[in-house]
Amino acid sequence: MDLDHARVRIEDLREKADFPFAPLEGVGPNLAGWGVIETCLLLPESVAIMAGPSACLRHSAFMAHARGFTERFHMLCIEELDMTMGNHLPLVEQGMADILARRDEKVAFLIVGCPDYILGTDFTGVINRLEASTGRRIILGAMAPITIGLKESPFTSAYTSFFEFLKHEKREPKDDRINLLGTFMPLSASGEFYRVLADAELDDVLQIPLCPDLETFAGMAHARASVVMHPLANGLSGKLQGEMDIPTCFAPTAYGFSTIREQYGLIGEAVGRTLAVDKIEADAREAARPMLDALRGKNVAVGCSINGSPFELALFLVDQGVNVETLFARGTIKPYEWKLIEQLRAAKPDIQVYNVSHPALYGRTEPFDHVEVAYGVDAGMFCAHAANVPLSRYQEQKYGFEATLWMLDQTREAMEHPVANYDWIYAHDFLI
Amino acid sequence: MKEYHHLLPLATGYFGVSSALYDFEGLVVVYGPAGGAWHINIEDEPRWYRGPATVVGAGLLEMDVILGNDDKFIDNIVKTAEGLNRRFVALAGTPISEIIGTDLKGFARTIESRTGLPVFMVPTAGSEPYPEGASKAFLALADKFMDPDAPGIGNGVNVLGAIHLSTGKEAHLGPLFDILREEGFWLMSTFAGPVLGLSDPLEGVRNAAGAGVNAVISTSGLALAKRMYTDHGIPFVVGMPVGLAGCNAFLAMLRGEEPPAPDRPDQAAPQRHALVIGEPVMSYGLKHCLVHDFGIPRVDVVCVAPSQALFCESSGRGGLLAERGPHDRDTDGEAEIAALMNDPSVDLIVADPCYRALTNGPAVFVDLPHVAMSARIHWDLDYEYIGEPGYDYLASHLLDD
Repeated sequence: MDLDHARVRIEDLREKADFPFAPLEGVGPNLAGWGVIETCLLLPESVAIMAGPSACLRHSAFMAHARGFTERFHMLCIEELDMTMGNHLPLVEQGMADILARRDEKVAFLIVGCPDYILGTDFTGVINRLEASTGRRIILGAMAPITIGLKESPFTSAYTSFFEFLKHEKREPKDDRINLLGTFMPLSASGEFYRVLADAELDDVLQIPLCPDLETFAGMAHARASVVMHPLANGLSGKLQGEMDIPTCFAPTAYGFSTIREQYGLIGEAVGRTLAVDKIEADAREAARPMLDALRGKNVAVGCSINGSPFELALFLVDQGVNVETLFARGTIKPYEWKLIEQLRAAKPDIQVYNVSHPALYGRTEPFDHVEVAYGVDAGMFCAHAANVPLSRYQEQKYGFEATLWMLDQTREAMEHPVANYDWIYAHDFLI
Repeated sequence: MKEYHHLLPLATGYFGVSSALYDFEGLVVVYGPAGGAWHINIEDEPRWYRGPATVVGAGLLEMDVILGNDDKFIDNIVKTAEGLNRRFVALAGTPISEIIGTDLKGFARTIESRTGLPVFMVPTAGSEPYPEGASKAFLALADKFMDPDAPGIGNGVNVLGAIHLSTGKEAHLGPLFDILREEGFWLMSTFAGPVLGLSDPLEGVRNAAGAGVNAVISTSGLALAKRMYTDHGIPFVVGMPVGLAGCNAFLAMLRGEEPPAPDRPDQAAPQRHALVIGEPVMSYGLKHCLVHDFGIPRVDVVCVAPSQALFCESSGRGGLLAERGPHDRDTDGEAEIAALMNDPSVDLIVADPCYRALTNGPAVFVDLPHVAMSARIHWDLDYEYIGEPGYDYLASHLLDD
């Protein structure tokens, strides 16, 4: 099975069916975002209790512990036979009651796995009784990779479920309040995005990771607009718009100057203010120039574990004259990325796009020996000789032109002082 | 029902299958959603880094389960196994295949007839202890590849149960292999990976029936050792030769001799009551070392995987480096282990570093990573346990300079 099975030239990538099919799924050092527990626990004053076979729990526990959620994460081990027979319902009910008796959080997420999803287990009675006996809100969620690509992902569902804590608010719009949705690590309060909004007299920004309690979070119901920085938040922002008339704007993390400028324009429209970014953009372009000069002439690969879209980053780099020749992606291409692919197709049709999960790819590093800079730990897996720039969403969160400069600065740092890809994965936990 | 909060649930059956088969250039298909195989590689198989795709997921999706798309998966497995030119295919079950009753045995027969490759299934689910999966994988490997007529080699020894989930990086076993060589034994196979110097990774497995003795160093090797005694008359010794006295005893048993009475330790450790937590064979090896090399009067063992089979008398067993004490127990229950660790009389704990989260007392804690607990988190930690390096590691924590 040669690499031709695992790749497609971007000029031939026009629809999902063109993406190389992986007959079996190899490993994927690109799982950032598949974090139901991580998503649930963004909600303040919440605890997550996962119930299922211990194999499934072990998988999720790594994410919970790596993200520092140990204190708010519990697991209940259920055997397959009990699940099949439906004998686990009273066990889960009792287990949750015991845990909640020791906790003071107001919300509990009951997370089940693929087996309950397939069996269609009905937890309604369990949840109703637990809500009545504990006085807590219980929200059902699923960590169910068996649903990948078929419907809204479980982590998007979990994020959307937060609407339950907003929908009953009596909306009293606040003129200077903006919701910032889709962040895991919070944007720095001293960052560019906050400054741009503050200059437009929008200085009350709410983002979920910084909400200390549900009361603060509920203030999102009174915002004048929502800005979405990651697609997982589109469900929640859609409900806020559709059911509470809060305008929304999808402006995902990007690196291209023109894209960022367009996004600020969209944000300005959504919030009904003009956002002044001319000087910031000019300064950023000036600051970026020497760093981009250093990058031109290098062979570059972009992976899909970066914060943002690999197609968007590749497009920016190609537009700047950087030689991007390799992309590592997954078949779950997001709707907004098809336009980027189209632009990339026109700009550099010979880019090879690899299915990062294809088993033919694993153990193969020699085709990528000439790559000098690799973005994303997934790209770094294959590009053994490259300076690896993870751009992980578990690092600092930057937005706007600041993100581009940060990306370029990280590139410079990696070229001058490379960190082994192994260390990114094993020492820094950037894999998941 | 077990509840976990600070700990991770231990690796289960199909993790054990992966651990046993990973290094043989086969293809291990975890029959479930892709996520299962991903996480094995990402967390529990640090050997995966930049390596070939050994453990792959079937990529099972909801509609496949509902519609019973078996043919599609058989086609995909055939295509991948042939395309990657693998030596065998192993199918491991998951909670999904267990619940919907997938006929993995039938899959295996069909794939074997279509590819001509050796194909076998290992009946795993998602709740059983990992040694059970590894044990079944060893038996399947032996059934498929072991040559019953392999020539006998009197000083030949198979090391059984050397799975990384129990014993860590293979480098940790280096002192054992060195000692065996120095004692005149010929390492024929480890049954969990190729033997150094042989070009065919499965050659050791093929020749294993010719060994003169089997050394079982984790519970996952017990069933195969018993089978090899029944079928081929090969006696076995069970134990992990931790430290100095353990190593002497282990070697004596392998030679068919009575273990020598241990010497009094040159320097005793100040601790009086130790608790060892981990895999049974390893933990009893540690207990032996702490008692005899360091003079600690009371050492209790908490086996986080079942230890019952270890103590069942069985024909063919020529020695056992484990002695069950009145306070030893089997449990991986977090609350129970926490209570034991926080017993005020316990002044030494030897366990995977993850267990530190359960302690709040002043007991000395010696890190002994158990990969089935902490996976890659402590994979690169600097530690030893076998023979002299093991003694030195423990001494560095227990004895004053």
